[in-house]
Amino acid sequence: MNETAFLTLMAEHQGIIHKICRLYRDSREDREDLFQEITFQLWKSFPSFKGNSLISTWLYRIALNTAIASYRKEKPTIDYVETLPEFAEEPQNEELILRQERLLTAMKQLSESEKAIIALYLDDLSYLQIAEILGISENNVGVKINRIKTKIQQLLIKES
Amino acid sequence: MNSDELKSAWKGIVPPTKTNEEIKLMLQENRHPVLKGIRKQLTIELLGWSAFLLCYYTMFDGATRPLSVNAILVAALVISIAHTLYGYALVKYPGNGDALTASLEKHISRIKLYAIGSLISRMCYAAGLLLFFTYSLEFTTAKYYSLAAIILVFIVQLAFLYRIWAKRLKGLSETLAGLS
Repeated sequence: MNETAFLTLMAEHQGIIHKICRLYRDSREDREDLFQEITFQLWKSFPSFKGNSLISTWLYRIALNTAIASYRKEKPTIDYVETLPEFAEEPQNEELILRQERLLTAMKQLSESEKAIIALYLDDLSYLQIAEILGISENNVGVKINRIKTKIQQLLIKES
Repeated sequence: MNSDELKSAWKGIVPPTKTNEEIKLMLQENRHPVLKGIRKQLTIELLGWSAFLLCYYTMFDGATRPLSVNAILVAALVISIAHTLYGYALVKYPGNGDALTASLEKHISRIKLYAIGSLISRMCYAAGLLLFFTYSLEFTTAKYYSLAAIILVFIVQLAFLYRIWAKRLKGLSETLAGLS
């Protein structure tokens, strides 16, 4: 197994994993655990990756599958107020930070399946690639994205 | 916010960076948070049951009970440990990069099996213990009441276990339906 190749892959794509962890877990500790779980699963599956799909497709599939399928203990209901402290490592303008906070707060209120679909859409993946990751048709992807976008707009309006 | 603004907000999130050293540590099985928990549970179970099996023959009169009753007790404990090991394998190998809907379908089937196994192993465990400790016991009314109370506790535990698994499976099935 080529550890160097895997580490290079992680260096290039770990941002995707961080965002999935951010979306699917509420506490910093849970996000760290999920990041570790995803990394471990990617490493286990790495030898079986034959290059039949894009590396990002493979990575999204495993990361989302791990985030959705992995068991987590129930915790008390939390308040979905995002402050992005662990993400704001580079100076950003206030308006952008505010928009990110609002978006994340809205996205956290979506169902697990909606989170997966909208994250892929917001990462600018084509409908074809999203369809490949999910295993559904492109048309179905389009329908679902439109519904989720409407729902997010409603949540954003409710927030403001 | 329009689509472009949503995308720019999402892409503008600057994630923290893990170093190669941190990633390398995460590749080790003994660092996996869930597997670590299962290993801990397995160690405690193994130590507890080993201690029990070492002394039950003399301390709990295993020697005076028929071989079949002893065998059922040991089998019940082995089933319980085997089930925990199956859970470990389930967490260790959840998927191999298939499309998300296909992976989830597989995962749901495996979880269903695991949940059924979980209920069966708990029933075997309860039945094994009860059979062992009540065998050749001379029952009085008070003892019947005690036995009924113990059985009730096991039934309540089973009902809780069933509820947990049913809820987990429902959640996964809803996610799959939302993706399909």
